[in-house]
Amino acid sequence: MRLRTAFAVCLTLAALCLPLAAQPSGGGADEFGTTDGNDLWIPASQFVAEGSAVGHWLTGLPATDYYIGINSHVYALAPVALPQGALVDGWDVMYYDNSATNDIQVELVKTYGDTTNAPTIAFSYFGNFVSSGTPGYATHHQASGHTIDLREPAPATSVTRDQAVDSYRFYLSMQNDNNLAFRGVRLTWHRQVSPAPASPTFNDVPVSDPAFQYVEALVASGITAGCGSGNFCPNASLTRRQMAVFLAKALGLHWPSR
Amino acid sequence: MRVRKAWIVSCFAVFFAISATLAAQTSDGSDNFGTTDGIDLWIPASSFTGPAGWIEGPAFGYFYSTAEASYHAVVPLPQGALLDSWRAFFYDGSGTNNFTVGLVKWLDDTTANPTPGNQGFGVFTSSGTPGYNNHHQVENLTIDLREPSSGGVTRAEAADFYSFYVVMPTDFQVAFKGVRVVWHRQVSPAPATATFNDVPTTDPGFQYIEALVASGITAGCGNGGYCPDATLTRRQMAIFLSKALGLHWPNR
Repeated sequence: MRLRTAFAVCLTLAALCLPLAAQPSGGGADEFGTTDGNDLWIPASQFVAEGSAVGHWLTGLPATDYYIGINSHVYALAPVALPQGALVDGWDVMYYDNSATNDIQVELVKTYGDTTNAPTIAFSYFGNFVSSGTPGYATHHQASGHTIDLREPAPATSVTRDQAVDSYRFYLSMQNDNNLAFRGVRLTWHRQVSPAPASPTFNDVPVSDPAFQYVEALVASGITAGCGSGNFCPNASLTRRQMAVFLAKALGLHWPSR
Repeated sequence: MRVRKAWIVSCFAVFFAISATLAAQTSDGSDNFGTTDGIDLWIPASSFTGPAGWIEGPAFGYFYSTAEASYHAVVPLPQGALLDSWRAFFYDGSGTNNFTVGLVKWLDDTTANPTPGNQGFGVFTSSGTPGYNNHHQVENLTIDLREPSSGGVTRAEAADFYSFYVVMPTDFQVAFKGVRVVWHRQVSPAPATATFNDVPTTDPGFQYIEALVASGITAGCGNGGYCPDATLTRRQMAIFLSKALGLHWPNR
């Protein structure tokens, strides 16, 4: 019987148990499983205009929910609230470009921030898109494949991960042209199981075990401590009692809200 | 990349001159699983709302206020979460003014006779040490969104929530970047009485099996029992998992 092993695999796949730091999740971040297809819709209304564009970032032109920068170059940012370890499959940029000379630029930005004693602000950019020529309403699909990692890069000096506040945002730049408008970004993502560690936790689940990665993910998430004596008993049958413990711990069940 | 560079220059050049329009940030923080300590919830200053004059500056992501005021942000943690601690990031370059941040629970009766109240938790006020800094506050607080049983308000009528607040002086030398909350899930406490005749309160799986019942994931194996020692088949596991996680509605 390999039911317990199979259960660990299934549970891990379904409810990704990432031991890493994570950021708040937004709409669309509440779906489970590793299948492609979770959508995160970030409308133009969530983009905060910066600088001289403040007060010139208006909706309704040229169509409902489209925003333009009235007589102003718009620079705007919107938070991307995905859990640690999420795989960004790609995103669709929905916009209106009726300008022969000016463009819309959209890209994903990771901001690094040490806010302790001497802030060092840095950026990484992913999937830069600049609209071109084709007039009218359009949607651009940007393939990605980026894994969300909110941790400060390892070489960061004198900053512990607890003190870092890395985050992802979408960055929008629209040149000063009333023939440009922006509707939003629809991001598609899915969950991943965290990579396997280098060394095993249990004597009976070595790195060569087909469920090694999944069993370790449960350990890292506090869902199992094994069956005693440093083992997990991967081939033991699971009782309904044991399964209840696994499930309740994994999902933090169930606190009354009334 | 010319556009990006222009943006950065523009941003820093005008930080002190203009006000920012705030967009609500949706977040619920409930997307991580397991009971391990250490899930993070980042609540940036841009999520804090209040009177006009809440302006980004003097550095990227830091906000200051043009008027003495307080700003709030909801703490979107699920019921029963254990809030381990939080860390506030701020800038205090002022010799006279300070920065205050705290966690509060709002007790709101939203029925005909509202009796708003609040309950305070950790509070921090900056002092002396100038420059960029952060403060770590231990809480060990279990999130409970229910109205306290006293006061003549039923829980269904209550709309309690937790929020962080900051109190800002009129001083652009005092700025706030956000709060990082560390939390983890807990299994709910066991009820007083048992649901199943074969899972008494003394059963080692009692608390967990009751949690599945309360979540609608199991109704037992029939005849008022749960059959805790029965082996689980792969079929049964599939049913448990699909129910527990609400798997999987196509969205394409």
